Amino acid sequence: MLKLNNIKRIARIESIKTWNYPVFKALIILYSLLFLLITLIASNIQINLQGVTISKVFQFPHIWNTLTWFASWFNLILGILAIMMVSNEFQFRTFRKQIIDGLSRNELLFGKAMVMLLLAVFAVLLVFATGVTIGIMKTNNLSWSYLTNGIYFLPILFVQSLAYTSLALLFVTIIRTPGPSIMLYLLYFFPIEPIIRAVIPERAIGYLPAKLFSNLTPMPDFVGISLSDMVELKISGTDVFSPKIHTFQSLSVITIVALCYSLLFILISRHIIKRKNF
Amino acid sequence: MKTILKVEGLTKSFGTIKAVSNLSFSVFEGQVLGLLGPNGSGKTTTLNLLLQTKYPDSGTFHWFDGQSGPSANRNIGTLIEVPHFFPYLNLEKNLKIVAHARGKGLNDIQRTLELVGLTGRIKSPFYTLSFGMKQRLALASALLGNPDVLILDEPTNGLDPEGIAEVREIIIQQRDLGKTIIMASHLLDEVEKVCTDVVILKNGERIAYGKVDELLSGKTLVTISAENIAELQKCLKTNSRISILEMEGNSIRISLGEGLTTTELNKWLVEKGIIISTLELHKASLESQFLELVKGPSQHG
Repeated sequence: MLKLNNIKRIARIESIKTWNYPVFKALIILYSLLFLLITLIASNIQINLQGVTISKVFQFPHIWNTLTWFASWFNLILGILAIMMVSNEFQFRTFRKQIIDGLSRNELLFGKAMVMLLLAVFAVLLVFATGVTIGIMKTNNLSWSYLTNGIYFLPILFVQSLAYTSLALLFVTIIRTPGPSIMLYLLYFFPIEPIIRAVIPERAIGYLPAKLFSNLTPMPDFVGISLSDMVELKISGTDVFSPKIHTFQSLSVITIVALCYSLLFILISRHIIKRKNF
Repeated sequence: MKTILKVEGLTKSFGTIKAVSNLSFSVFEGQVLGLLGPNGSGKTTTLNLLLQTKYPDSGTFHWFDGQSGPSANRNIGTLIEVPHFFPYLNLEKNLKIVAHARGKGLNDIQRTLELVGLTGRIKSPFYTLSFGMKQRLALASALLGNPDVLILDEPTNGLDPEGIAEVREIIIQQRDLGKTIIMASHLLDEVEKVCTDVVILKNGERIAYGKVDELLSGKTLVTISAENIAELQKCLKTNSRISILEMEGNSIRISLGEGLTTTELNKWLVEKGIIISTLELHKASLESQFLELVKGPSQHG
């Protein structure tokens, strides 16, 4: 069992490894810069289409959908980061060294799960800070209900980031070396899963991990939002796994499924690490 | 004496190769046990099993009166054959990780780095160190937190003569402080200089086990045989100055205690009514004794 003392001990170990790792810093900065850049550019574009502007997607409450959708493009960077952190331990044989120094295999994996949770928290905080800033700038009549409406996209982004890093963890615990792990991880998203999608029955497509994870943060309905602020009203009684439809209800179902996927990937990785001879 | 480690029937195979086969031994407090054997005899595999980085196929072992979980390792300072650290972290940060993993405080880092003469490099990233320095950092890591038990796998491997002398000096210091040490080595000379007890391994099997002075000292080795071999053996057992090393078909290999000559041995046996048919004297060097042990037929027990 993990006691509080042990959790602190593992947290200290992981923080030394991560904060001092140049690749960690570089990829976190890259992730943040790309997200901020795309948000800044998109929020300043003025498109006038028969009197319809897209600027409303940067107003409360739609901004949470928009920004989490942008952030979701860069989840792969977090996945690659997770792969680097774990493959280092295999490459440097430091997993072995830490077992020798008294960490259990469970504790090794727990440390990595902590890093993954931290990455997800970071993604949420970045989107939250950006969302509040831009939202206040772009929304005319501010009210508290405006602020909290649609904020459920933030916990969804948290689950989505965790899902991406958990899948990365699974790849790297099986493959161990960084290059091949990253390559297969990326190839899984394109073209491996898209090929699978082409051959399996349509109603199963929404359950495949990559598809399901990306459905968590649906593309904002740029034109629709502009025509009607009440986008949710247009949707009723449709298949929750259909990619185009999103309501709070449908999103909560796939969020739970994504969370289950993450847990499954982490548990399989744990099983592999527990059985491994280092 | 307190039992530090009890190993029973430890076995591990890699594919068809038996790396360790039915190995048993015990380590008591204050002992320095050498695992001696040529390369590939199963020394490192044995240590890996004891440190739980690898799982045994069968057999058991217990640290400190019954502990077998990974937390037992927190009280063991280990130097493994090749030093494994985070190359991008400096020495201090690498040792901080070790200290946290062992659940020890951070105030011992300076002392251990001083002990191995690496204080000047405390802020250098690990990858900038020479091999000898890496080996010394590994020794510092083993000594961190002043553990009562040390496991050293070929501690002087790859070091220059000066480094070998330094590392041996540190090991002897630790031994004299009353630490329990388990040390794997293929160097007979090293085991003879440092260890109190020895397990000699060959192809993963234990071929000899006992006190270093008895097994490896420069004592006179004699092979004798008599018509009544059983009676000879019985008689030899009654003399505390003689230790029986092994049975070789119709003859017995023994080592003579200090001061006991072959003439005296012969005279004593005649007095006991045993006529020996052959007496072969090997005043062998340590090296050849060891080689003989390793080359000879396996002997269990």
